[in-house]
Amino acid sequence: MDIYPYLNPSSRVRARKGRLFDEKQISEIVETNNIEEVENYLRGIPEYADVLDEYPLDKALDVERANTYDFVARLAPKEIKDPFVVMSKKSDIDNIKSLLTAKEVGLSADETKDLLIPSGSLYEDLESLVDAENVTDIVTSLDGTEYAAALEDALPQYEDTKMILPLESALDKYYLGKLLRSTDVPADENRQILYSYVGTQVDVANLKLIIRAKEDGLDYDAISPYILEEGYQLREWKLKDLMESPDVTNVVSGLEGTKYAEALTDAMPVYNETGSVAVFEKALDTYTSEYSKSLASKKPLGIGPIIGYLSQKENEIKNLKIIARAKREADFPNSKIMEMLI
Amino acid sequence: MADIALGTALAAIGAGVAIGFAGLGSGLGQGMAAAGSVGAVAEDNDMFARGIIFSALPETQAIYGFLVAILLLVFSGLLGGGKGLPTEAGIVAIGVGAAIGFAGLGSGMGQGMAAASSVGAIVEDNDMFARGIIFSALPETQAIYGFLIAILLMVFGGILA
Repeated sequence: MDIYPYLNPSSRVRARKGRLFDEKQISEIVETNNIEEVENYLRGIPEYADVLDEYPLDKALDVERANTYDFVARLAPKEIKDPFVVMSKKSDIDNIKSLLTAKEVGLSADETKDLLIPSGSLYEDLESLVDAENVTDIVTSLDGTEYAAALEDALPQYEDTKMILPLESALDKYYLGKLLRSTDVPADENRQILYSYVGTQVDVANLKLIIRAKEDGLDYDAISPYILEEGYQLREWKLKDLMESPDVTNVVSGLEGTKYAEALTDAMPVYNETGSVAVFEKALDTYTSEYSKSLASKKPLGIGPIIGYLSQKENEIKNLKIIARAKREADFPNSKIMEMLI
Repeated sequence: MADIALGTALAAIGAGVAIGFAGLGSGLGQGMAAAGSVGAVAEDNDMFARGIIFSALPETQAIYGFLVAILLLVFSGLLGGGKGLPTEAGIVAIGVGAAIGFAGLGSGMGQGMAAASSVGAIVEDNDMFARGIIFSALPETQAIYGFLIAILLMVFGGILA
């Protein structure tokens, strides 16, 4: 009887999953000659046509992603709804970050407004903050929202350094913590799968942060405030070990015995050759995608199709953004774009 | 109250079990298939006809149960005014009802799950229709076994004689 609440949502997400781009369509988009052709191609797809009628490409993709989170949060059965509701608030966090960035670099009100994604429960409030004087004003104006405490804790650090990184990291940490806590009672198989899915995202976010920090030569004290210590497979003690590693190579070797080791070890030769930590980020994204696919097949009349759809839709949008960015650069080789795709 | 032989009263229990449990399985199965189909139609209007087909599949178990129940009621004398069944035949009638009732329960639920899953597969990939029908038809066999045994019990147990 526990399958009943999943039957309707499963069919709905599978219908949308069937409309996602297959490899042939992605190749066709990569083969386009310029950004206008990419847009024209997407206008032939009903989901993207609607958002492209209203917004420029990048914003349209952000709106489509926010719509996807909203859709899944709306139809998810009650017992698994919480984490998807948290995910649907990601556009609020992205909008706050955009506001902070806009104020930091001194964008005008109109330019700032263009950056905001028209989605999330705070959109209208945030839209009214485009005229705020400075970063501190934005933070104090958010008093009373769920993000206030996290931002106010990081505000002194911003005022010391005049860099918004501590504020952005505080928001990311708040989001990941809330996401992890929303699934921390894995009472049945559906919730266990959800916990693995969400937990892997938290671990991957922590790992990306540690790897990038180590590339910049930061030590434990500099990294630890931004890390969510509650990780999933990478618990507090393991994260501490990784943060204390002297360099990226040691971080990767320190992951031995965890499920992330193989993906990162395989990327090591390319890192040694190029010196870019982007290879590890791509390896982690690919790992997350493959892992989500494996979770999606576990409960076909349960949470499986929901995770499968969400994960593949996220990848599709990430890939479209990669293609769009590449098409804006003159003579960017298509073969290179294909390599960059998840 | 009408004067009913013990055998006839037992046959009435058999009839109740036949349609009760077969109907339960059929209803649960049809509910699952219909829930999946509604989701599919909400995303793709063209799925309506195929959704109806898959939602109708688990109906058969209730039809088998209904048919067996009617036969029991008629041949036990409860409908049609016969002279009634002996007690031994009445006990056989309970077996008749159990055969199709429980087989229909399992078959209906199984078919509902397979049908709901098939609808999801078809709305994702149109080419899955034929394969979906085959997989959804498989759990029908248990109901057919139950129906066959119920008929054999009625024939050789002195009810349809």
